Amino acid sequence: MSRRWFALAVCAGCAARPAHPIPIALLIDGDRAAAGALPPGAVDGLELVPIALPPPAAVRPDDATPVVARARSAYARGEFDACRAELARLDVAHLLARGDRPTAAGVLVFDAACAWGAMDRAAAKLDAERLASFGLELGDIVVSPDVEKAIGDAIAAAQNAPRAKLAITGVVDARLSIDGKPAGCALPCTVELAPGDHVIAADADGYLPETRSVRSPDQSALAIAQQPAPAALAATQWRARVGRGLPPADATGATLLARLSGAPRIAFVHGDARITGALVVDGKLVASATGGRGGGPALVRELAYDGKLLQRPTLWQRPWFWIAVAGAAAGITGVVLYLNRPTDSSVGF
Amino acid sequence: MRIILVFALVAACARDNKLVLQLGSHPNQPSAGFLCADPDQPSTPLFGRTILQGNYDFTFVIDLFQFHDVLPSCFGDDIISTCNTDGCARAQRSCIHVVVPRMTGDNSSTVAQRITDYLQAHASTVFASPPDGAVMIRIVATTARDLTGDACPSYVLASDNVVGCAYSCPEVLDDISGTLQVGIATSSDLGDPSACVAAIDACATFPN
Repeated sequence: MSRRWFALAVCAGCAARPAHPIPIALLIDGDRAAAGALPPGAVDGLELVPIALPPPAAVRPDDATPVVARARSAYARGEFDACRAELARLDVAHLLARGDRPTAAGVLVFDAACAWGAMDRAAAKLDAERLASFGLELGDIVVSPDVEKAIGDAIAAAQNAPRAKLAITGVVDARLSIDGKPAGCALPCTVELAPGDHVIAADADGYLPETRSVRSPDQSALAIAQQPAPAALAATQWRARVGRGLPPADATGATLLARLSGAPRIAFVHGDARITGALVVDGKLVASATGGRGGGPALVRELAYDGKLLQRPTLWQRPWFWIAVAGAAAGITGVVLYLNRPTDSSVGF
Repeated sequence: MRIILVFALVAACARDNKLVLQLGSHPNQPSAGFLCADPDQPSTPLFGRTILQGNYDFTFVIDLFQFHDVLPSCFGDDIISTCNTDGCARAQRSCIHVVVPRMTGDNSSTVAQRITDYLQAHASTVFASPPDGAVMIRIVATTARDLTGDACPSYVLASDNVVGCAYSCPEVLDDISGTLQVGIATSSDLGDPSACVAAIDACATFPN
């Protein structure tokens, strides 16, 4: 009899589950032991596909500084053409886009100096004007007094020239930098620029960084379109956000998780004193939950229920319901038996 | 599973129901069935016949009757009538030899209290497993002193030796608790020694 009841309870406790397991990417972060074992079949109805973040990209070697050093040596030896040939290999706009203003300043100063030495005064003057419009300084670079004067004049002229407004649009909240310096605003943003060339760079999580060169005041509006970030970049950006203490699965984090995984569904589990988790579907956060250490499967199951990937079993389909019913029935039976227990009478003095 | 086991054990435990016999309406107030005067010496109690070597020395023969189809009232006439027509049967009998000292200034109350104390010390359990259903308990005091243990007779007691008798109402023992009093009910005038003795004889000797 008890075996039949047990079988009935088990059958009743079987929740509806999809015909085929739903594949879902699984990213575990932090203390992996805290999440507990999460093999592919840890959650009925789901096929967990573990993914790992790609290793952080190696820091690119600084290839510009040696070029500037060689140009400086050539300038010192009076080999002006060689100097300019070295510097021609470097793109000032690229240097500014990545924020390397000192190197950019060195390129322009030595190019101006070498052009001056090669008697190409127009080119020297153009370099001085670009240096001034970018807001760069001579710093500790030593060149001939004539060149220093030309640069000083250009800087003074740029400082005294009226500013022109430039309205920049693009990915909302993208970080904006102008000539290698943070602009102090996020897109969309309107800035005032000195006359001359400028390098506008936009950077947003989930997108490839983009750079545009503009000439003020020729242009009053600029739209910067950014392409979605590839998986490796998305992983780098997501890791950087978490490192800055930002939520790993807010709207932007969810977008990055989707990009880095390349999967339509991704479950993120972070192990610590407690475990936290989030479910991202089609780049959007659809569920988040917390659980105790070792409760990874239960956490992912809850995420799947909340995210509508799985149908949450109704009350009577849960094993605990039947366990509680059996317990209550046993309790009531016990009470009834107790109240109706037989009486053993005895008679004496 | 553990909780279920506990419930099962609790439910399996039967409730103990200890019923205490009382010889009258109060521990020191015996029933009239134990207070008959001696017809041969009307100024002395019939119970005085139990005195032997300075003690009250007698035997309580306690019967437990089980009723079948008819449950009579508490009146003796009804009970005797029912039992004499095979409506009851003696299910169990117990004999208790009682020896309590006789003291100067004794009266029925002090003697009754002393007997009660003796019984509580020596006969705390008279019937350990009485039958289910309606039963009645009869207590007969007799001067016969060799009836205890295996000698406890199954026959009807000789009325010559009976010095007291009382009985309970028919009761289902599992349905009551506490004290079970015994007494005697008769339409006769128990102040008349002969009538009193006749009443206790009738009490002690049924069924036929």
